[in-house]
Amino acid sequence: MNQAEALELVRSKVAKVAKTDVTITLETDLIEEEIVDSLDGMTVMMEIEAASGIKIPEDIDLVEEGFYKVGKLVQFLSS
Amino acid sequence: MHVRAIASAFPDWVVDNDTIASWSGLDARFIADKIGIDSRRFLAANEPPSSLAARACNSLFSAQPELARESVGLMVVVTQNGDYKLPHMGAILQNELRLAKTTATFDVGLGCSGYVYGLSVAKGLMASTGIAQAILVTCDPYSRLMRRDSRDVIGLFGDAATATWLSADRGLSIGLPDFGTDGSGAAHLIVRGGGGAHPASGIGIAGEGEQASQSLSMGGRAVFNFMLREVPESVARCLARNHLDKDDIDLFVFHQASKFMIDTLTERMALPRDKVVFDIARTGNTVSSSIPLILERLVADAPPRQKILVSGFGVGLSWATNILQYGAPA
Repeated sequence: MNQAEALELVRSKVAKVAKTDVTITLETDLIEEEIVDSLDGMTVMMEIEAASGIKIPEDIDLVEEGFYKVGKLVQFLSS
Repeated sequence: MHVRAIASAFPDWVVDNDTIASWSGLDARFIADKIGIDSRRFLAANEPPSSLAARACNSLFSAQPELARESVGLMVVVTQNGDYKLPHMGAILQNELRLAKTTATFDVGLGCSGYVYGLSVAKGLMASTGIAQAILVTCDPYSRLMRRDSRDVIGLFGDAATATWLSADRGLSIGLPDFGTDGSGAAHLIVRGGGGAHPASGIGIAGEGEQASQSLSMGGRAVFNFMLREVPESVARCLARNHLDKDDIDLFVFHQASKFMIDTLTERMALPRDKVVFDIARTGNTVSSSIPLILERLVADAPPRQKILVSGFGVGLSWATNILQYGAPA
């Protein structure tokens, strides 16, 4: 998956969980900008895992590790 | 074997969301809206867990005069938080409740799956020994395990105890269960300190000087993923074992983990929302007590032949599912 595909995947899953269309960029922080809360964030990650087949580690703090920053998430998915 | 009646007890100390927010920095509105909790009860510092369990049992005896104390042949206590490391809470309760010395008592060390496990444990022992009357107790005060500033857990759990009268003759029959364990997820819901691996301080053996946390740690996303992975499959296996279809079930009573988790599970399993019971607004997630607290109302109100699916999941990680039904052979 390239960076553009990863960004579109994240955007589509965030929109699905937030139940509204969203504009995100690599600079967006999903939690800080209150696009999703920490619980909905778990659903976003699960949706991304199911669609991509890529496992996001369960034994890390996603907030502390910066996984709700779209740039970090896209980098992880496209690496 | 049958579920004949259920009684419950709560501590007096009411902890509202503003208090939780002041301790932890959690948002009170978030707890109410997303977790589904307005308030919960915590045991007072001077109140031992067994006193809460005894109150639930005494409430059961008061409400059910047909249940004589001397007739209770078995008491199974589901808890991970007894008064002491040893002896087991069942022994404390036998004495406190003045049950006969011939009463078999033991504890089952499970969390949120424990009530559903306990139903089958008691059923099996009753069937194999001829015991006609048993009490299944749940009492697991997680307030004793939670750091007040732990944002992962402090807004979630509350304390309660329940006592379920199990009888050989009538009530809700206990069907064929589905059980499961995935110990690879053990670390996702854990209290590391105080056990044999990391004993309490002062013991003077390996581990001294490196104190493991004696408070509850939860990997929320791992537990969430575990629930969505295992519970639908457990429900499907349990339905098949009992020769039932999802549409045959009148009510689904899952462990009352949180509003977010039950809403998500309901959506993923495509269950009718009016068949899925959820109510923790004034209790919080009460661990192994959450299912019997819901059943307490249903047992009193349920029309004949109603089929209730119960499914618990949590610490272990573990899960258990069963069907309770009026008018079916036990």
